Amino acid sequence: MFDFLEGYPSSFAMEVLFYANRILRHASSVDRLELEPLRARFADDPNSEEFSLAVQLLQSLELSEGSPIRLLRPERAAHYSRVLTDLFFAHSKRDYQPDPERGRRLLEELRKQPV
Amino acid sequence: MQDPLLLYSTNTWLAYQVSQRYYRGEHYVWCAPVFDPRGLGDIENVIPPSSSPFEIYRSLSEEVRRGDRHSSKIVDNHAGILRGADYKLIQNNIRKDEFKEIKDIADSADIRDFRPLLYIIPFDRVSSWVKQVPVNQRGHPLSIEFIIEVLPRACFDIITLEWR
Repeated sequence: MFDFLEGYPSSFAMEVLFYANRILRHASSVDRLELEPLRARFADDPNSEEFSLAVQLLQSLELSEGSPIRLLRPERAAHYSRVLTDLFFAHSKRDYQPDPERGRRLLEELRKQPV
Repeated sequence: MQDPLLLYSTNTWLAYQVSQRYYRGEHYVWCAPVFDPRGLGDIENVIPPSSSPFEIYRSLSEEVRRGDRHSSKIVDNHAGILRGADYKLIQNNIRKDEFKEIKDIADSADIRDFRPLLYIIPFDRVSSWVKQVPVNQRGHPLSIEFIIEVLPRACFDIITLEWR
């Protein structure tokens, strides 16, 4: 269902997933997945192409579930929210070589800094 | 509404340190004119729990104490740090190598690194930079919430609270 994001740069895919999750978390108050009303309510950037794809992603989720997102059981919505979050973090690592050792070393330096 | 004396903003230690090191000590914050809106009777002060600095602080403290890396506030903060780094890179505010360092830091962070800090911001110092949060992004249409996109470290104090 979310495979189509593979063809996009990771930062673009992350924005799509971020917006889809933002809408999904308010699913119970979303009557219809109509682009413009949702854009006015949830988008940071009114011209965001990523937002359009986020709505398409949720439309495909509705098709797969056979139910509007507002009628999803809370545990089902939470499940999809976790899936979107996991994908967000996976895409964040996709285009670069993570270096956990460097991350830990930098964190140690930061921990020595006063607040 | 009269200008507030102070603004309050809850952020994580990790977000603070990333801004200090990579964004020249400039912090992007959401803030509110009250710390804990519970008990305020004034209808002008409708601030829902999702926007209350007190509630955000309490939730983060609790999630860090439980050690729940997958809890919503911590996941949101982690995602926010990555998203912020993406934005700074696109805006040419950081270099690619700095961008990668931020990602490595965020991905290697321990749950304790997401502990909350409370920023206390004198309104007079920041009034010209304060923007009202658009109605569609507020926790409640009537709530009073602000964004400061570039908050210099010299313009706020930090306190931490013990939770028992």
